[in-house]
Amino acid sequence: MVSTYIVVGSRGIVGNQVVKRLRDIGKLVFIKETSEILLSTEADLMASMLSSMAEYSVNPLESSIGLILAHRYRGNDIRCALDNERCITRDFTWELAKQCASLRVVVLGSITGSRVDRKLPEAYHYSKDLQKSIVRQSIRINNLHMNLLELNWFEKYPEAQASDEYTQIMVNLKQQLGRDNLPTVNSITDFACALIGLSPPPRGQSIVYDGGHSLFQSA
Amino acid sequence: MVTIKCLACEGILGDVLFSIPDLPLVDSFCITREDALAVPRYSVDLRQCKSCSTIQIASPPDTSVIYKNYIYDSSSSPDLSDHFSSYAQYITALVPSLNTKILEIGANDGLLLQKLSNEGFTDMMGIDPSPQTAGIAIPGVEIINEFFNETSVGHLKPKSFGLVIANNCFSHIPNLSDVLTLCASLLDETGTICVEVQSCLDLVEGVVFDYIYHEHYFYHSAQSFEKLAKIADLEIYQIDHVPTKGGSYRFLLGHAGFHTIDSSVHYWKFREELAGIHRGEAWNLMTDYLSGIKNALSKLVNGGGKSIVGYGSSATGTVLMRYMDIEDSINTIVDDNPKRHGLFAPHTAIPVKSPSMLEPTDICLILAWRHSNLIVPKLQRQSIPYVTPLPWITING
Repeated sequence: MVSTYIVVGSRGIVGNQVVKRLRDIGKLVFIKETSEILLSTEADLMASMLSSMAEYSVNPLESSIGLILAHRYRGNDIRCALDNERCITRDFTWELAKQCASLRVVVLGSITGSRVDRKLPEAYHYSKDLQKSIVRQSIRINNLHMNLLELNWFEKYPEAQASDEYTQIMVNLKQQLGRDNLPTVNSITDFACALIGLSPPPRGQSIVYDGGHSLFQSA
Repeated sequence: MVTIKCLACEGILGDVLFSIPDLPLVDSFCITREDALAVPRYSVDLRQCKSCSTIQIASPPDTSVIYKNYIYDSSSSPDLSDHFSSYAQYITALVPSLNTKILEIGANDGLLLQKLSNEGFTDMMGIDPSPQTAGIAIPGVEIINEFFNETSVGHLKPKSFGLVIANNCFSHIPNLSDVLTLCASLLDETGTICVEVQSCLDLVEGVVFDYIYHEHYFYHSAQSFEKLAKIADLEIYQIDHVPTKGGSYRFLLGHAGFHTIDSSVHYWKFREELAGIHRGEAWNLMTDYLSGIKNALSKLVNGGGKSIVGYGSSATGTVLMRYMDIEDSINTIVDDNPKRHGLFAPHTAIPVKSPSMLEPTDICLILAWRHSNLIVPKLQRQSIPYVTPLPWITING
């Protein structure tokens, strides 16, 4: 079982709920802000990460660490979006893997409902594609087990935060699927934890997790 | 130190990135065992041009040697027919009208021209030196059964084509900068050159190394192809990605300054930079990864005492067997294409037979691993144990 998690992107709607869920199910969670990763040197970043863990007596070289990437670039600048992915999804992860006995990563990052937010900029789609590429590259690193969840449909917003329009889209979708089985952020987090906790852990997988919507569409 | 010149631009090649020693001419499947045993082997060394960055085979054997027993035709590849159908629809949406004059370089047996004809195009020309091309008979299609060069197309009116298609042939043609210059001369002002090539990025990221063989001189990237295009005063204005050959680029080129550069051009160059395909480390990582597969495969084929049968008598299968050094452990190759039955594999003389000869006591090694989705159900129906070697080893049964 993996009990120590790092979450990147905790300020977003999804990342915030992921952290809460992890804590609810008894995990030790370290938060790494996207801005800190983008602005720090790798050496400083790792030193601060290890120092935070040491305070809780966690030695990553002797245990497996879970990493959930829930960041998302919100702008339109393609170059910036790609640079962010390089910095967070690849360089940070690769460097962190060097400090851990086993690093188990689930990328939720920019895969936050491509059909839920219809008017997404081009930069979003490129960063999403780049994440798949990085996950594919990760299979060559022995102690890195990196997988990606494709969340085509899920309940992104807690009920209180959802707009009327969003709620209506979800109601229609659930009617189409015939039952109330869309993933929620809690179920996504539980699924990510299950992947991270598997022995041996999978790697290089791009897994569609959308309550059966994709299969329903292709049937 | 020996200086080796770039086949694309005549620049100087750098250090070796990847090697396959003693590779027989991969698609030289022969009618007699003796001929097969006599098929020569040439080591393959990939290097990068210091000028245009094109990754290529250094000093490949002469084309007259490579194509001596060339039997490939587009129609024999199981996924190409569907691919060309959607490709033809893509072309229809790309060009201004069905009256657009089209030239296809490397038309092979005319499969794509036929699909374009089905879409309604009526003014087309195909050029290819292969014997299959001579047999093309499609209404409205003119055929030139020769290599694409100044001699064969010099008589054509300059700037007369709205679209020039080069589909998976720019990996095979030397003097590529000259070829692109010739294409540019035939292209009208706002026309498009549509080039589909296997992507070097996918080759490295997806470990599709078995497409590296003598007739594929070049392994193109967006970064290197852009430099070649510039020599011909062309520019890449869009890049699409298609799944053929383990992942391919479809470059759209036009005369410099006539098209808006799409963000896809920047994106693919970024991804290539990130993957480091123009640096040695990415290739070293791939070599290390393949060493692991090679060791595991060697134990597997030499360990059980069972008869090992290869599935797929293709060029890529020849590369796979050679690189993994397992030819001696394979006693038969089976293939769905009846034209291949009765032939012998190059240099090893392993006989090619119909899959109907497979027995449940055999172990089938799927050499054509990219078509596993088509092959595995057949093997499962016959209860044949099988092994998929790549992208990682999977053992069933």
